[in-house]
Amino acid sequence: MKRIALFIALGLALTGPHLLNAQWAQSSAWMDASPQHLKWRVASQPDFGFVSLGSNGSAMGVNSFFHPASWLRSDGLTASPTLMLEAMQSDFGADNSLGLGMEVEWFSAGKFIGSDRKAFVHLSIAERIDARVALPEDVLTLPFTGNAAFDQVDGGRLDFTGFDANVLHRREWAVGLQRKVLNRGSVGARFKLLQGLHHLALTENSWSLTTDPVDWTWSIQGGGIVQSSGIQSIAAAAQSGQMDSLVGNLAERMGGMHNTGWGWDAGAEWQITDRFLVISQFACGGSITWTNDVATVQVTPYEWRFEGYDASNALNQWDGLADTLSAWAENQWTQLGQLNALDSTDAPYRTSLPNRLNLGVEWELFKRPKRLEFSAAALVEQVSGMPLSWRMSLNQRWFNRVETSVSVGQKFKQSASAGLSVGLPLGPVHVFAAVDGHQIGDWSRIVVDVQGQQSEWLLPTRAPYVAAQLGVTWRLGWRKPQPVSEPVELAPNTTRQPGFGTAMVHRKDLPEPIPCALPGKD
Amino acid sequence: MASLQFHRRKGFQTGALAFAVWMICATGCIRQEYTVSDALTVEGAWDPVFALPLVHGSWTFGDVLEAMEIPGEVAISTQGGVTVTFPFEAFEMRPVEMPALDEGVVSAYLLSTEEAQLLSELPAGQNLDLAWTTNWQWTLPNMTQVDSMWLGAGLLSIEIESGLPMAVQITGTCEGFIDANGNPLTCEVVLDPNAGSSTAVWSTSTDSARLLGGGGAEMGLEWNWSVALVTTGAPVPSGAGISIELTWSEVVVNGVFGQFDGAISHPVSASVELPDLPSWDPAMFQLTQPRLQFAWSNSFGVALGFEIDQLVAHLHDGPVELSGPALENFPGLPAAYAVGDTAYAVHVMENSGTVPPLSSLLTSTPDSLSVSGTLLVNAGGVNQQFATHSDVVKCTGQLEVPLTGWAQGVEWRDTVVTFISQELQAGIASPFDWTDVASVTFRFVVENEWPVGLDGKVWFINAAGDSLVAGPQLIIPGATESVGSESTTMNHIVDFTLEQELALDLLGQECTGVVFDWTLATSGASAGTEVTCRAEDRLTVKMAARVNCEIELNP
Repeated sequence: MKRIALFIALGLALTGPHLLNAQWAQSSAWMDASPQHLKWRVASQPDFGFVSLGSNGSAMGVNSFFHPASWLRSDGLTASPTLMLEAMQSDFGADNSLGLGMEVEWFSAGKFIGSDRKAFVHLSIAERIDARVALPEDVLTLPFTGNAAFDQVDGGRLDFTGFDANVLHRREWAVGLQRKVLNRGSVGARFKLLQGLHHLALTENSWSLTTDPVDWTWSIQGGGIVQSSGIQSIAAAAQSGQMDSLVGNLAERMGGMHNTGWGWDAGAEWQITDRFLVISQFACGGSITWTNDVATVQVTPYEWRFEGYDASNALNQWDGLADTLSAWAENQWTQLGQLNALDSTDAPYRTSLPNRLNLGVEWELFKRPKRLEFSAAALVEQVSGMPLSWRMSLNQRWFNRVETSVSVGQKFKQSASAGLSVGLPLGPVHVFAAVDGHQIGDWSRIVVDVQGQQSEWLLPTRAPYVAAQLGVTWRLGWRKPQPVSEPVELAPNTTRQPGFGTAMVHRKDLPEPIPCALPGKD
Repeated sequence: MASLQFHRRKGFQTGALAFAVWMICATGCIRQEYTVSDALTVEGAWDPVFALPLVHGSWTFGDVLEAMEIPGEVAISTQGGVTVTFPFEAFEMRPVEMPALDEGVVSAYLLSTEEAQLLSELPAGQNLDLAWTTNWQWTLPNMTQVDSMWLGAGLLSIEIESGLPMAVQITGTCEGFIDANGNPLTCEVVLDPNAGSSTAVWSTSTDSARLLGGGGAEMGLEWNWSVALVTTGAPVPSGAGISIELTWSEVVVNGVFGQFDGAISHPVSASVELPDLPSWDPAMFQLTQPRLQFAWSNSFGVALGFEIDQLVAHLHDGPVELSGPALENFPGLPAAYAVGDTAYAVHVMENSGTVPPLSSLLTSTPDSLSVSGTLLVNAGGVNQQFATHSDVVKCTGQLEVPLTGWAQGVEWRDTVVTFISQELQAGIASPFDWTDVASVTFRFVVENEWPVGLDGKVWFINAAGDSLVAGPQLIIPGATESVGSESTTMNHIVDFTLEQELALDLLGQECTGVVFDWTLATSGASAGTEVTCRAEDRLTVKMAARVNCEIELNP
């Protein structure tokens, strides 16, 4: 138990803040009874109206390359493990990214419109942060290959174009509407007022370093564009030691409407047969215009050559390699300015949201109303600029109350992982939880002992992707269920009027008979 | 039963929740524990290879010549050929002399007895007019025809003496004596009956006076005199008259125009020192196309000629007199077109035009050249010649040595200060150390457009200049000329690898530089093949280092 308690405590410490904020778990897409599935299926409707206040959120973490525990192997015989260099290098692939996403819904509510329950409207205010850093493979493998292993490094070229840094912090004020159409279909849309808070993006990057295989001179080629909003003031405050002042103005910073835009989601669902459902959704359309604390730095594509100390002019003084590099860099920087290759501006700019396209199908395998409903489903997701993601799930609804879903899938081409979602009604409260990425359950403890001084690290062994979602909503119109009378089972071979196992209902609301319209009749 | 179903559902919810918690606890746990210590072992090879450029240099042949501080000038032809020139000034002279004017003439009008008697009988107050002309001529040396003259500083004095007892007013006009505006000179003198004489003086420099000659062999001025007499009634003695004396007083002649005597000649004798080249070793160099150039400038409006009597090269062993067609065919020097202009002429004595050839003299490193001859005036014999006081004939020259030929055995040492030990040590950062370095390879990449081959040895030295480790032998062939005189670049790469032990040794001895000891030879020098060095021919040397690591990780 002590071990379990430790794990839970550490797990909560590491992932708790994310869970509390919890919307990347694809497992939640097929949880029809839970309002949280609206994020994945804007055209769908939950079973009930709801309201929540700061109790819905989701989080996501991506770590595609830094798994130190998987680089070690212990044979159990020796005290110290073995560092497997090949395992370390194999972790460094085309995509080496660290990512974090968090979303918290400050407020959300939804309600059916009309007595026929064909239309549903919902509102939400959510805050969302997406952050991602990607390192080029050539940078990570550089310590292993060096820059002059020309048989391993492509033509001596170290490609830095894989470097990426992206931060997007925004607030969304959304209103959505769903409507059932033609008995078998439904459509939905969600419109959002976007409030940009912080942004940082490396929108262009073409850097590389080439070592000439003949004379070993270096050539640095490239250029790029970095855009930011709301970041410069943080950097300036950090540099001048005035972070306290910045934090003091946090409410003002977070409440400003300097960077605004509009966004939208739209989707449609169609029940092809009684058992077969197809869904589609386009999400995160729209853009934000950034006007506050804006900086755009552009380096026009250029090429620098470094050939070492220039001995052509004997008057030059050799002050060592480091100084030579420094002098060279200074000289190149000057040239850059002279060529007007370096441009900085504070002009407003606009960025599009990372568009998402979802397509899915659900096949009802088994249905015993009020006992068990069982379905299989598949969902694919394409986020702009990212690899395709997919997930297959088996969904259950027990006694028309508890929902569960187990799934397996692959997010952004990371290794496949299993997921679990649970929707649990507890009276008027509906609790929802979903986790994708079962690898987060495997942890390793690494103790580094340097001359008797130990430092301890507790890390997931290999969890390339984990997403979690947690939500608590208040169900509108909930009534405490009343015990229902069991039908009386009648004994066979009785002289009494036979029963058919169903309660007799006296139909008082039968429609009035339609008068006969044939000729000769009254 | 209804109550039973309700409780079944509730029980299921509780069971599902418990199952979920159990699943999390069962699957989520710390499954591995590692203690990383000094005993950590590494599986797999960790042998990165890093390469870094250290030094590069690029030198054109022209750059090198400039750096060599040759006591001459480097000229580059349009074809890129390099010629080293050693200029000198031979002589400067004025073969046409212009002596100052110092002439004079007296003109008198004397009354006869009858004229005196007649004037004596006239009452007082009567007016009489007289007129006569004076031709003033003199000769100019070295001229066969005088058209005009420009006068400089000096004086013209006109002294008039009257023996007549009457008032005299004399007006003289000379059409051939004009000022800068073209106005003829006019003088007017009034004498009282008892004055006797009077003198008028003109400064010739103030009016930029010019004399217009008649085009003959002599310079002539015609003065027209007009005399107005007013009688006093006094008797006029017989033989009395009016006397006028014209005198040039040290008048400088600024220029003369006409034709000069073709017999004028002027002796010339000059000696020219040649540059001292202490490092010149004739055994190593063979420059095959030296030449001697004489450049003339002549601002006289008179064509000149030059006849060389003797051209002597003064060697350490004694003088050597040159002869040959280059000396005999000395061209004439044209006249300047107009005053203020200068005419030029160049005469080049090619190597093959002299006996012995200049190249053989160059090998003997002559100290000086001496030339003697005669400058001939009016060699062309045309009209409309001129000479002014500022005109001069100047002769300069230069010894031109095109870098064409061959050389061999030339030694050149160059030291490049590079703190190799310091930089290599700094390049290996903790936790790595030099035990992680398997070898260091220095690469020398040479691109040679020079028609000069380099055979060199590299030495690694310390701050005191002591040799630490012998580097590689670098043999870089020189470029060869192809059709169209385009050089072919010779590329050469030499790797020099220091294994760990030697590299550590080099580091321990604080290597601070690299010395290149070169022996140069032009392409095909041993076979006597001539090459031509071009200023833009470039020699590029790059030095880089590659570090091969075999890292053993020790946390």
